[in-house]
Order: sequence, then C-alpha cells, then structure tokens
Amino acid sequence: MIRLLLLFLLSLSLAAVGHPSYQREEIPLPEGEVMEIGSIAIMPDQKVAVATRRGDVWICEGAYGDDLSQVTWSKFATGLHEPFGMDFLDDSLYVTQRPELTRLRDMDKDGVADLYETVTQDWGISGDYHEYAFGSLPDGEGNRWVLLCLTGSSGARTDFRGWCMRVTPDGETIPTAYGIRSPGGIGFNQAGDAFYTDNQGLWNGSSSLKWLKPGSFQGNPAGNKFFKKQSAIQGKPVAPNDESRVITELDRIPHYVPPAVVIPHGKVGRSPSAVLADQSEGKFGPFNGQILLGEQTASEVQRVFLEKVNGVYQGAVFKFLKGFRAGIVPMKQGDDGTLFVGGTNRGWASSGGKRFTFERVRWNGKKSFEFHEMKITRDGFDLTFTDKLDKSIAEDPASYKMAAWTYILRSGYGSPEVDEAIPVVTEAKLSPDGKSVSLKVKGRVKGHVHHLNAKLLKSESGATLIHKDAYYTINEFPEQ
Amino acid sequence: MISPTKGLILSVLLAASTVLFADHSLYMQSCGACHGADGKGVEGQFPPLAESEWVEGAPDRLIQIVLKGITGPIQVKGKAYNLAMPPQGMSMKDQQIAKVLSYVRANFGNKETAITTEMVAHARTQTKKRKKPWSAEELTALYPLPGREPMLQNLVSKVYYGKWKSLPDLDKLEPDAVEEEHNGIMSVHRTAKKDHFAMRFSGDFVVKTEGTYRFTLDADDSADLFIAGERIIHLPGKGPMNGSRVIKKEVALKPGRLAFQLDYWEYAGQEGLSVRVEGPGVPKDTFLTPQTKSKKKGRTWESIPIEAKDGKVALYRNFIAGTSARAIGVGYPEGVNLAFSADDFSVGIIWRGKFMDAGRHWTDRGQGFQAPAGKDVALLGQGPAYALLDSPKEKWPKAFQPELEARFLGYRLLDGTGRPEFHYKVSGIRISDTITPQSDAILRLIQPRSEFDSGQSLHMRIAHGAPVKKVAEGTYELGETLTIKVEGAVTTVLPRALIITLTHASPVGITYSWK
Repeated sequence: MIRLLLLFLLSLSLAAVGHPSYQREEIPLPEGEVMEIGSIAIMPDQKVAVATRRGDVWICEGAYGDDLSQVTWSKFATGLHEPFGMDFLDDSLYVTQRPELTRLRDMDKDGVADLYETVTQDWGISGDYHEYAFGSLPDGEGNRWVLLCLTGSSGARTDFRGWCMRVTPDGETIPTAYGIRSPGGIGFNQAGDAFYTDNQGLWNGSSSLKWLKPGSFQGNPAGNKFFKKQSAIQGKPVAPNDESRVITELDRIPHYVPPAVVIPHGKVGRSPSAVLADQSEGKFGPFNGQILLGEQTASEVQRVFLEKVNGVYQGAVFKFLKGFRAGIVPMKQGDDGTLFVGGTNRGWASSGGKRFTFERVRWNGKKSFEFHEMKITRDGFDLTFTDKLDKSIAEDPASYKMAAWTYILRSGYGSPEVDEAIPVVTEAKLSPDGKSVSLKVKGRVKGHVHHLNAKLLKSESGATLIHKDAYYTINEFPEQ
Repeated sequence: MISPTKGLILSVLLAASTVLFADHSLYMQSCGACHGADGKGVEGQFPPLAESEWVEGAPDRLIQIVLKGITGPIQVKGKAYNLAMPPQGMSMKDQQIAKVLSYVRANFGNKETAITTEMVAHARTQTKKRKKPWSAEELTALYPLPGREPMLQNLVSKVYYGKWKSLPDLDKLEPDAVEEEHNGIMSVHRTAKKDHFAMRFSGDFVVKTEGTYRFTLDADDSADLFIAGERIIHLPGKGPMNGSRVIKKEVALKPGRLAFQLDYWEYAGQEGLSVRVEGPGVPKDTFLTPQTKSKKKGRTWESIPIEAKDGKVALYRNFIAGTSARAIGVGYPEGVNLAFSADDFSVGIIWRGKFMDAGRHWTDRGQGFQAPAGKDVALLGQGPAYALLDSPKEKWPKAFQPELEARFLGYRLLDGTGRPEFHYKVSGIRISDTITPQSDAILRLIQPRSEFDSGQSLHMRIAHGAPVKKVAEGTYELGETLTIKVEGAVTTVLPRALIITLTHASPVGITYSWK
C-alpha cells in the first residue's frame, strides 16, 4: 500500500514537469507588455525573436542562458497585423502577417526595424478575423509557404482562402495546394516535405497532420472555386461526396492526399498548431527527425513518427509533453536543441490558464521508457522503444491491445469514430538488441487509425511506458 | 473463500464501477480537457460545470450547447467568460451525449435528472437546420435558465392575413397560422407576409409579487394590450415606432397567472412591437418582445487606446472602418491621423484628435472594423487610386486594372519621427508616397522614382465620394469639411471625384486641410 502511494506521489511530481527527461522553464517576458506570442524566430548569436498577436516584434537575449532572470528584451518592430510565422535570414526578419509576407530590416543599425518591405500580398482578406495567414520557414529553394485559413473557418470570401501559396524570395506567389480548412501551423520534415496541422471541423472528422504535396487537395472543397484563377496546378478540382470516407474519395479525386497522421479528437488533441521537426541530432533526446506538434487547447506537445509507404506519408502520434502555461501556437528549436514554445489563450481558451506564455524545454539526458517509433510492416507493425524491454512481457501477444476506426468525411462539423474494428496481435517477437518488437497483427484496416495500448509492457528495469498509447494511421500497406 | 453472496456483491460493485469509470473516461475525453476532471473549469478560460446554472433544470439547454456549440460572452455562476465551445453534435452520437451529460448532471455537486438518448435525438430534430453555434442570449431566449422562466407562459401566437384599415376584431377571424412561443417572447417578424396582417398573442402573465407594474408599449402600426380581460393599453392608427407614440400604463396586480392578450395590426412598410415590463422583482430591462440589437449590443471589450508617444508615430495595421481590410493606421504626434490602404495605394480616411482604440481587435478574437477614436473624420473614398484611362472622365475601375501590375512594396520609417513613407509600383513606375503631418492638415508628396515613357500618363484619384468644388486655381473643397490643394499636376474636377494626371517623374504635392 505504501509502495503504491509512493508510486502515485512519484507519478504526480512527474506530471508536474511533464516528462522525466525534459525540463520546462518559463522565460520572463517584458514587464507590463501583453505578449500573446504567435511567432518565434531563431536568430544568430543566441537571440530569439517573437512576434505578438498585437503586432509587435521583440528580440530576446539570454533565452538560452542558465539564469533566466538575466533575460533582456528589446522591441524591434510594431504595428503588424496578427503575425503567425517568422524566420531570420541574412539581415532580415521575414514575418507572415494577415495581409502580407513582410521583410523587416534595420537599415540604420539602431536595433529597430525601419524598412517594412512587402514581399507579397497576393491573397485576399475581407475583414473577417478567421482569415489568418500562417507562414513557414524558407524551404530548400528559399520559398516560404503561406497557409490561408478559410473565411470564418468555413467559407472562401476572398481570393485563395483555403489554399497554400509558395512565395519565392522575389515575391512570386505560387498556388501550391488547396482544400485547407483551419490551419494551426506549418513545418518541414527532414526530407524537406511540408506538413501542416488542420483542425477538426467542416470536412475534417478529426484534426490531423497533413502533407502539403505540391498540387494536392487536402479535403475541404470551399476554396476549389479559385482553381480557375491559377495555372500552377493542372487538372480539375473534384469536390468530395458528403457523408463519405477519405479512403473512398481518394479514388475519385486525383489530387487528394490523405491526412498523414490523424490526431484522434479528444483522445490525443483538439487544436493542433505548430509543426516542427526535431533536427537536433540527439541534443533534444532520442527523437531526432520526428515531428513535434503544438496543441493549443490542452497546452501540450505531441510527437509524430512519419514514414513514406508507396509514396504516401503515414505514421503514428504519441503524447509527449504537457503542463505548458497557455495554449501553444508557435514552436522553434535552437541550435543547441532547446525547444522554444509560445502561447496565447485569447479567443481560444486553453488548460494552461495564463493569457500568454514563452517557455523553453531542454532534454536533461535522463533515460526514460517511451515508444520510439511505430512502423508498418507487411503483416503488422514494428515497434521500437527508448529502452530494453522485459522479454517475457514483450513477447506475449496479450500485452498489446488494439482498436481501429475512421471518421466520416462530411460537410458537417467533425465526426464520431466510426467503422470500428478490433485488430488482434497474434505474435510478438523481440529483436536481438531488446529494444524492438515485431508484431504480427490480424485485421488491420486501410484508412483507419490504429490505436495500440501497451500499458502492460515493462522495460528491463521494470518501468512502464510514460505514454502507453500510439495511434497509427494506415493510408497504405507496404507492397507484398 | 468468497461466499456466493459476497461474490455477487463484488461482481455487482465491479460492474457498477466499470460503468462509472467508463462514463468518467468519456467525460474526460469529451469535456474534461477544458472543464477539468473535477468539473470546475479554469477561471477566466473555461466555465465550471460544477453546480452551474447552465447544467440545471430542463435538459434541452445543455443538450443544445453540446450539439451546436456556444460562442461569445457568457455569465456562469456570476463570472464572465468569453470563448467558443465547438459543436460536438457531428462528432458524438446521441447515446454518448446522453451518457456524458447524465454523468455531468449527477456529479460535481450537480443533482439533476439523467438525460436519455431519446431526449438528445429529439433535441437534434428541433434544431436540425441550425448551422451556427449558439450565443448565450439566443440560447436562453429559447431555453431560459432556471429561475428565469419567462413572465409570459403558455404563449400562443396567431397570424391573420388580410387588408384592413385598422386593427380588426380578431374574435371574428380565423387565423392563418398558430404557433406556440415557448420563450414567452412576442415577435411580429416571423410572419410569411410582411404587410397587411394582424396577430394575437395570448397566454399567462405570471405575477409573483403583489404591486404596481408598468407596461411600456410601442408599435408599428396598432396594438391593444389586455390583462385579466381588461384592455389597459390602446394604441390605434398607423405610425412609426420612433418613440413618438409610446404608451405607458401602470396597473396594480396580485400574484397569480393572469390572462394576457395582445392584438397587433400591421398595415404596410416597417413593422414592429415593443413591450417592456417594470415591477417588483422584475429584472431590469425585461421585455416581452425581441429586443432590437442596437439596444442591447454594447461594447464587450475594454478600451485599449493607442496614441503616438515620445514624438514618434503610432502604427496600427488592422481593420479600420472607412477603408479596405489592408489598412495601415498612422497616428502622428501632431494630432492628425490617417489610414493608408495597401489595397488601394490611397489615403482612405483622415481624422484629428485621438488615434485608435484597439479594444475591439485585441480582445477575444477581434472581429470587425474599428472606427477611428478621434474626430473630424473625413472619408477620401475606397477603390484603386491609380488607373490607365484615355480620359480622367471615363468610368473609374473598381479594382486595379491588371495591366497596371500594381504592387505594394511596403514602407520605410523615417529617421527620428518614425513617419512611414509608402512605396508602390504602378504601370512600371515606382512611386514613393510621403506624408507629413501638420496640426490641421496632412501633406502628401507623390514622387515617381522612374521616368515616364513619352506620352505615358497615369491617372490618380486623390479623393471621391463627396461633392467636389473648385474654389481657386489648384484649390478644391471636398464635401463640407475638407480643402484639398494640388501642386504640380493637371487636375480634373468631377462632381464627386478629384483626379490628377501624372506624366513626368516630378513630384506632386497634395494638401488635405480641415476647414
């Protein structure tokens, strides 16, 4: 009993910091300022810039330091219109704000921007607050990708609402993908492919991480009417049938790319935001190359393993970090692996009850027992872990519980979980290094989310998994 | 050894706890993330479900919130919240909604009856066509909070169509439509025809406390109000509802359910009915009719003034009323202000005094256009500032002509003052547009930065939308308030527009001054 109590207390203190291998700290903000952070940019010399929803850009020094009380702030720019996306290149900060992509320059080197150059404003805005623009870092060719949220998150009142535009360094604005509803962030994986989060709602049964393959349709037909105003994407838009399934419509709609990883609504998240590939090569722990996702409502960070099967991305989402102080919107990673997280609750409340926050997360090097990857195989899944497994439990098929379902693709708001199936693990084989298990699974379903609960698993030293659930979306089976 | 009885009890207990745990986990999945594992919510963020008046009483209100979502300001347990709960009707089945709401109504200190799957299914059919989330106001109008039952109960409306010259005797007519009005609100706006009709509202007027009650009635056109069979207000004739015909009447009433009847007649044109009740224990601003939006729709945000400081301009990019969505507001320390439209390349609006109140845009989600905070607001018109035309008298285009290849290039903040100098390119010519404020005027310098081709001309509309009058060479009046001076360009005066023609890369000065 006492041992149980101790374990319980221990788990409580772990919950307070979110994860035993990570340390979360709040970075002090300039006093008296409303710092509803919508964008973060990593700058040289260990500086970090943030842009607020009120339209100010601030530069922070000391955000990497051991003593965060020494942090200093200076205001760099002002009067921008709700920016969501910022990066630093050469001598400039590039900011995606609601009406345009702007290059901010400090020509007289006094530490304050004096040139606000419009790189592009080739999209429509009507005065509706929901017509947000989310911008990416530059891609391999120097292009920034801009996501244009639907009017009121449902219609397309002005040009190219529901589209992703690629903006070249000289301002050419190329329609790149369509079918977007309400994005929360955009980023690139290590291969350089662009991904964004789209929130549950019209034509989104659940929120998901989607692959912005150039020329692709993402599922919401509201912006299809702009197809005739562009020539970058060939072919014809096809609206999905209402009350259908993604897997059914894929056959009808040539441009349709299915959500890479569904983030089951309620079970994993509600409002996914930032998309950030961990490229720290181990400085942020064992998940290099994986995607970190912000989650606004629950003030959490999730983790995604992606793989490409038959040319289509798919993979698994795991819970990861929690306890942030406001709803997470932007995330960026510093060169030393530090994860910077910004948050705002205005208009959309979150569990972290503060109005806004700026935080950093660093890996403390401590070992912990987590899922590492979940890969699909011809006859099941290969699981890898961050620690060696207890062999007898790992090789018992009864240690794994599975369920699978999908969502209705429809014009209405969201969908219940439907077409439930129960896949069964028939065989589990531990690898020679003791850190991977090959599962044979009967009853997997194409187009379904596959929930794997592994709460019974133990590491060699007797620990249970910090996060016991994985959710794998199967778009494709590996070819036989 | 476990005795058979004990075993049975144990298994029943186990079964019960499984059910409980299942309900709790459904709650955590559907509600708990925001409203908390203990149903207490997060102060200022997510309202509590624990002992909340919104959970109490008849189930429909609660079911509707889950089905359609709710958005905007809401008072819960005396505290203000302002947020959006997304609709769950499409993502949850009737049975799940019934289960989770029954759980909420039986936990966290709530002691309400369970909600059945059938109740949810019925509620769903009631609002099948509704696509938008509820506002607290709309929802409580239909499903009042406990203790706030309408004063008019069992209300029935009848509609009669026909051409009469005054309020007809409705006892002698057969109604064309009959409806129950559960919200106790008399609306004359839901009829199929908008002219030539009459209505009768009848129901119970519930008096809880003895005392004097005052009824205030206005109508377009006629109305008669009866309490307990007695006509207490008679408003005959045809007339506007502008306050000139209001009738107030005080009556002493005893507790009970009194027969209530209101007869209404609409001839043609506008229609309207307003009945207000004051009396002991009656909440302030109690109306028996829908309230017009303008009356109730106060500001829901705190003022956040933005002004120029320390001799430097204030910049505010947002939706500013009077110009396009891509407005760049500039507040000068000299006490004049403007909004430059990056859509139109024009100064769309100028004003004096205070600059802007950001409260609307910096509170909650920030919907809508905000009017300037100051005074002497002058609109200079919307639409593209530049056009290629054979003559300035030709019809001005509604959007930039594609051949102009108009491109906004941004702005430079000038040393010391931070005044923006706007840059754009039209018809291959790069133009800088510099603005200098004075205490009662705004000076604008249009400077083409590249040479024109021979014969090339570019028309620029510098103001429109109000009568323009030439008062002297190069001096014009726009409407009642502004004088505009032009130097360095040929000017064309149209009845409601002022157009200049650029033919060389030489600067043009424009001065907008208040009279």
